[in-house]
Amino acid sequence: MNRLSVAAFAALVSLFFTASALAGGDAEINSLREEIKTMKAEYENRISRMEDRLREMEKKKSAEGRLPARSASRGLSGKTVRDNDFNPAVGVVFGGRYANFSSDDGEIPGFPLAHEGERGKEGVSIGETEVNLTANVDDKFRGSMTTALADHGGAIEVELEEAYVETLPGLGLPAGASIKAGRAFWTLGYLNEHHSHVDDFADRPLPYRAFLDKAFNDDGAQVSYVLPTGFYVEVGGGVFRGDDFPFGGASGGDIDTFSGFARVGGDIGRNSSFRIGGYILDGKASGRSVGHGHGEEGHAEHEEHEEHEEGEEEEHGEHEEEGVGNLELFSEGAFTGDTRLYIADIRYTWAPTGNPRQQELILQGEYLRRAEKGLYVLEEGEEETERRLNGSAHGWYAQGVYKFTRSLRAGVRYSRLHSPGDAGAGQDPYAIALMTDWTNSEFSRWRLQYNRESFAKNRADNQFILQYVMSIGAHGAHKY
Amino acid sequence: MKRLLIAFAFALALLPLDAARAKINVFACHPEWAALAQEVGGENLEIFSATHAGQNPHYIRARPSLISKIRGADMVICSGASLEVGWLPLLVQKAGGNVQPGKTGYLLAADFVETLEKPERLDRSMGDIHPEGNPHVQLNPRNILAVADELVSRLAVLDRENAGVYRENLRDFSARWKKAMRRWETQAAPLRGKYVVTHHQSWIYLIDWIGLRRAGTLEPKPGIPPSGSHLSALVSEAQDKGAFAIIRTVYDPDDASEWLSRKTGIPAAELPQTVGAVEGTDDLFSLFDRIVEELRKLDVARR
Repeated sequence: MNRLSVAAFAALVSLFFTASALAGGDAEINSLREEIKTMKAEYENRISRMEDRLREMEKKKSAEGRLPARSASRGLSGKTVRDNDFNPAVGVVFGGRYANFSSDDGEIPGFPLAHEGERGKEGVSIGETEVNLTANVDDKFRGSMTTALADHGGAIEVELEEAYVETLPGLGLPAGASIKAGRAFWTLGYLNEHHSHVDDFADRPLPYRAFLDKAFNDDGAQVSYVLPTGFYVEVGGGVFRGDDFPFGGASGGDIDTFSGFARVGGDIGRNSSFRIGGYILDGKASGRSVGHGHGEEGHAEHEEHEEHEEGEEEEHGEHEEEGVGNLELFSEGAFTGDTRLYIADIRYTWAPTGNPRQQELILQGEYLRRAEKGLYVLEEGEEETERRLNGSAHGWYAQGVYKFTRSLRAGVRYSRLHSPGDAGAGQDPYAIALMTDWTNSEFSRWRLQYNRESFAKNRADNQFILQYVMSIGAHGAHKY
Repeated sequence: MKRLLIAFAFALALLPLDAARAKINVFACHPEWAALAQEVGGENLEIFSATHAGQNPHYIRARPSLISKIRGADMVICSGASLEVGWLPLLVQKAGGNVQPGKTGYLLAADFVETLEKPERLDRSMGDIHPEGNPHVQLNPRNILAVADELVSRLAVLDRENAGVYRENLRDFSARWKKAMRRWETQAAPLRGKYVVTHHQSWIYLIDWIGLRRAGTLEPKPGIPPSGSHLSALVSEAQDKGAFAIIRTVYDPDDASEWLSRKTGIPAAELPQTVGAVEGTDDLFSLFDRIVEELRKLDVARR
């Protein structure tokens, strides 16, 4: 194109000169010829320079945009772009189970549980059915939603487990940094970040049930940053609404729930790797309901009760500062006050020859400590009492899972809660779990688990759980 | 608060380390791409291979160490075609903005070669299938050349200063590679049209290049372990077709191929599927030298 127009221009120029040259003499002709020659040379020089630049730019462009160009040429075979081609990836996870418990009583003395932390349903049930939708919003953000459908007493309950947007590296934040906002299973300990279908056991360990009500997925935002170090270091923190257990009853515009975390990890030789983390979650609960009364109900009851506070306090003054241990008689109530949770986790994996597909050992443990200062409003039947509290409780679990063939694994888990003072139960609550599972592919797994839970002296609950976890559709890669 | 500040200061102190690094950091998913980067990049690159030759590339955990490595990478080079779908997407989330799908720093080999075995029907009952085609593209030396070409044009953009060096390295590598390819093709000519049994469908590009034929795979479906009934059916098939070898990668379990070998008398062999899989395959040249040599030995033994 360029070359053509220049040639035409040169032709025009030479025509003009030829015409005028007819009038002049030989000398003039020669000088004109010279002039044309120099002009020609000059133009050719410029053309070749421009062509060089063009080539350079084309090269750059093709290197930058090679991928889209390539896929476009592939699409020539007649791929029609339909309206739903941009639909998010859809995945469904089924989790059905059969459970048999030897005891009717699943309550933990001294640790009033909330809704999700309670022991599962007995008999045959479909448990939770998770539906997940994920897609990139644009070049800078990604969105994901996970809802869990569960049957609660005959009514299907829809729980919005996650609904978040997160930044993509395209946003231009420093490398390694990302922000997530909305509702999500926040970075807090090992299990909290994971959907329960990824768990190695059919239920969450005791400290998760008692201190986190299975998982913390409040509304909020979190920032995380992977440090530019040779080994893995990630730090981050978040702010939250303060509505999810262990908080509750958030109202107004105050943001007083925060989290922070730091974790490191790396490889040891070719076959093993580890990650260690420390986490903190701090906030205020105003009417966190525990026991069988849930949500608004518990909150309302608490507020109603506050009027009697003064008289009651005198009556129960002796109980002050004695710790959660005195709560053993009560199964329902609400807590108002400051709650702080400290969590430490460790995970170690060993896969001989570096192939977790064939053989793998996973060791994992977490320690949770909850410090509380505030007021418990408790009720047992018609009776209502208040307990002022300034103390802490802690719990931990440790588990090991060994994969001995491609499809078979076995695992053991021990979890324990420690209540300060006398819980009145004669012992600290503990639970032992043994499990074995069969994995056909990344998308299907059957599990048999035996639990022995002993929450009070001379009281034990033997549980058998048969469970399946299967997923259809898109299924994102699992975190470490 | 004070502690937070200290942590922040600590983080800032670490930043210059990152900026001061002059070399281009290349995160290669597999040893063959690390070796290729070494050929064309030489000492201008700091190359890290996420997996070693003994690992099954389909099943890798997104370990913390890999996150820290990809975070500092200027370029990622992987096989693509969903081979790394179980781990790479998680890692890339923590990588830089230029190391993202569609960007210069993100190179998937399968996007620049003609992939084989594209499934006609996508259904998980078909096993571990890849919609984009078979991802084990490194086993055709022609593909290596195509990827080298692309790699250099990307490196030239990422590291303009040394663009000339990369191009020069590529010219040199291409010349040596083409010469080697002619040698391998001559050596492998007698194998043309002969049958082999493979464990997984990892070898289709090699089979296609040499002109071998596949009598069957030990896995009934990709990623599904060999079953008794499937293996029994393979016995007669392998014998009828006169297969001269049963080949597997170094990470495939050996029980199925050894069983079939005993039943049929066809030798089973472990072939290096990537650089470093067996001793003496330290670069791409010696890798293909070894593969061709082993195949010829197996063929001669069988005749």
